[in-house]
Amino acid sequence: MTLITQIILNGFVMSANYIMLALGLTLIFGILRVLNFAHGTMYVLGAYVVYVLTSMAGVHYIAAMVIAVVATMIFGILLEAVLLYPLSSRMLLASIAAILGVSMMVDGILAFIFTGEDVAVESFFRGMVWIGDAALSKERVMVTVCSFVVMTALYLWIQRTRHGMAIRAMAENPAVASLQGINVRHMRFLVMIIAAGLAAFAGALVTPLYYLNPFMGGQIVFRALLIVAIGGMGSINGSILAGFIFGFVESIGLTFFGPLSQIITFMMVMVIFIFRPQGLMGVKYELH
Amino acid sequence: MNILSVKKVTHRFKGLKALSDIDIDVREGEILGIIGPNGAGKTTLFNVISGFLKPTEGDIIFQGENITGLRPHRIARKGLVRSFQAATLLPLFPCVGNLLVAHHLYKEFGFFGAMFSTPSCAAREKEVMERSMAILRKLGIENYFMATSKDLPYGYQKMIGLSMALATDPQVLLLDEPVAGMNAPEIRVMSEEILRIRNELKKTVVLVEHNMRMVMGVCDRVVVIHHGVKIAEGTPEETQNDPQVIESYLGIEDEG
Amino acid sequence: MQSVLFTLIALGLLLAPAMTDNPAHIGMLIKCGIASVLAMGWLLILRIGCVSLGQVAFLAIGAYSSALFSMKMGMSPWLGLLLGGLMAGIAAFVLGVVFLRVRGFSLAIITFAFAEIVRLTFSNLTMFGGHGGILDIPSFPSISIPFVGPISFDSSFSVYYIMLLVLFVSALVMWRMDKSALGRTFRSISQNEDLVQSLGVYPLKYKLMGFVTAGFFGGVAGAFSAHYYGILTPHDYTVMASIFVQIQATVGGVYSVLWGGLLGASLMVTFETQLLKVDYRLVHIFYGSVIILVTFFLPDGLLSLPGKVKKRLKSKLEKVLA
Repeated sequence: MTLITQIILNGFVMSANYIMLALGLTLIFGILRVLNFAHGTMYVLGAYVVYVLTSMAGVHYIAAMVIAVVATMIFGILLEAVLLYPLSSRMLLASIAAILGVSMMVDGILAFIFTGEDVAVESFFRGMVWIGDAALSKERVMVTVCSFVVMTALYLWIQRTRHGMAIRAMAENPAVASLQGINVRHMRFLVMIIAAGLAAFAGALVTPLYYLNPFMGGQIVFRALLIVAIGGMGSINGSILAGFIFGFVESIGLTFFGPLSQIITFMMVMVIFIFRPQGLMGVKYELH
Repeated sequence: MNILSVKKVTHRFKGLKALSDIDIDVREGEILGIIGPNGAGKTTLFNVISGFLKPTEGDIIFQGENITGLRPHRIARKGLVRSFQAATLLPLFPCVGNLLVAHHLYKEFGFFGAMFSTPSCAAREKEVMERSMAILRKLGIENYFMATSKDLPYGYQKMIGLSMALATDPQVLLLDEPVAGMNAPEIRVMSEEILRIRNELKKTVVLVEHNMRMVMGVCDRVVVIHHGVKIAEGTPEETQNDPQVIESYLGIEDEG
Repeated sequence: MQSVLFTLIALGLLLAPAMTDNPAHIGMLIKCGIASVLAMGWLLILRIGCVSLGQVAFLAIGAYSSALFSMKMGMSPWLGLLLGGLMAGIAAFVLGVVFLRVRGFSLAIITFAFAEIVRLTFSNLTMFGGHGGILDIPSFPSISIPFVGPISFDSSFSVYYIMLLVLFVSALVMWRMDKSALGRTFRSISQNEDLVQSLGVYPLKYKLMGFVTAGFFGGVAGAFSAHYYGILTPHDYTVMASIFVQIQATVGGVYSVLWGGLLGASLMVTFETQLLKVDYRLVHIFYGSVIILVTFFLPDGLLSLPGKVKKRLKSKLEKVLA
């Protein structure tokens, strides 16, 4: 019984992280029509800003998180303005390659500033939380809760507000959307800001939990890409569903199979693709 | 003799019935036109016949053989070839290149033949090249054989597209909106070509079109489809005067 | 023109060991060779309209198969080259039959997932040596040629010729594929798959051809690298490595499978090796900046440069003459 509770709790923790990343990627794919390979870099940026500010400048953790998110948003804005918008008329492969290039460069530069791996930030929340007999560090609980709060807020925002509807319209039909008076450029920036913020937030939240390494962005973004692909490119619901599936499969896998669990996760990905190549909820370019 | 039969074909797509219980018999050597308002399911029908879609129910019989559910390239090999509405050719290929590819079925090269350039393969390539150039000569664009096909005027692109379908030496040609976007003289040329395909080459042609004059002038028989249902069939004159047909077209106009 | 260039380069490559005493130079050339085989394979797959993010998976499969068979079963590394290629080719075939029907972008993700599965399998199962990899892989034994006597392959100078052989064969096969009617069919599939199907072309068959070929030679290259370096670790086969292959191939350009792969890979690997001596972190920055520059200024790769220069000169000349 304890084991099951533990698995479920771990599942939620992992899902939270994955869903945050997947949501950002899906938004960018749906609106900007591009695979944001720099997502991992934004995650890492968020994490490193928090690290620098808290360890070296003694800034309060929460303030550091806010700064990290804003800094990454600025990075995203620059990315969109200088790279993505000018290239949006070219072939898809072009923008993807450019993003890849930027993220590699930034990773390399970060590696210069911070050598190798660093011990993480001290945990902000100390202590454990007990649910039944299952234990979870307060840190993890806060991370998970914050993530879900943010995601729910985002989901509601997309479904209910005017801007949210504008974004959905753009994802379905960019040409018509602009005719209806939606300022496409502004929306693109908005989407990028949201996605960058999500990625940075995920990265910043996670700093106290794991070691930081400038090159971990690559792993992260590919994992997130898999989730988005399984969920269905451009489908918000799909990303959420896939994020949960991934999180729980990994949680179960880690408990029973240890490091081999990753293979299982990947095989699951391949199997899903055999039977549903467009993803679980995939329809071309639709944001539900 | 029915060379192609569509038997009770229904196709459901996400809860919508794109095609309902369609029955069409195509006689050998005729030119059959399929008309109907936009979105009536004509292209879906073509997709089903040529194997790009598997119908939810029903069968397609071609030359006495049930070809339902076969892959498109298989169906093409059996002699049933279709053209496409948009994207009729390979845009970045030179004109002659398009025709070279089209002759794939006619004289297929083998793997080893191509890799090692065996004499028989080289001979095939030469023959295919001659045939392709001959086609371009007939169209009058022999000098542009290396021009990128997407740079050609639209009418020529469609003619090349038609020639590509013909190069496979099919029994039946399915033409999806062959004169769409063409001007009057181009339409005339295309219509004459289609008639020639039937008269001289003795092939059967089924075409989907919106241009009524062209359809009435070229087709032996006409089938009208509306909302995925066959609502009329007969000679062009008969269907022109069919009240149901008139209503279906007028109805659309009213809604517009 | 092309044959002149080809002969010159071939001669240069053949005589390279005579021109330098430094084994490091030869080592770098060998690295370029291995990378070129992979890059050519990537370009071949691109010809058919697919993007593969998992080239290094074939490298890995070839390397591990050959290493294990030669160590556990005493098989000769010479046979290992073929075996490595065969195993990788079979893997490519199985993967292709199942997944090549999937449309472009999802296919890229699947190739990436496949590469990761391969890497994780090799790094987690002890029979493959786990994270530490495999050490003490036997190198190429000497062979006896009648009338000439034994030839040993102790130094990199002599092993270099093995790599040259591998490179030559892969280049020949892939070049031939690209230039022949097969290549024409490949390109037609990538431009309009629906249309060619209705003309009787079975896309899966041709996609498989390209995929398996790229896989086979990737495997051979992998087997070679295993016996040449003598050690094998799963960390050589990460997704980053596959992306490096892609960038190298893109730098060379899609105009020619052969020259694009050769040029792009050789250039990038040369710079990479020099940079590694300074600092390994520079490599990422280097690759990143290169791909950005290429995307903006030369999206078709370096091979498109002569064409563009010609065009510019031509229009300038016309203006002058007018």
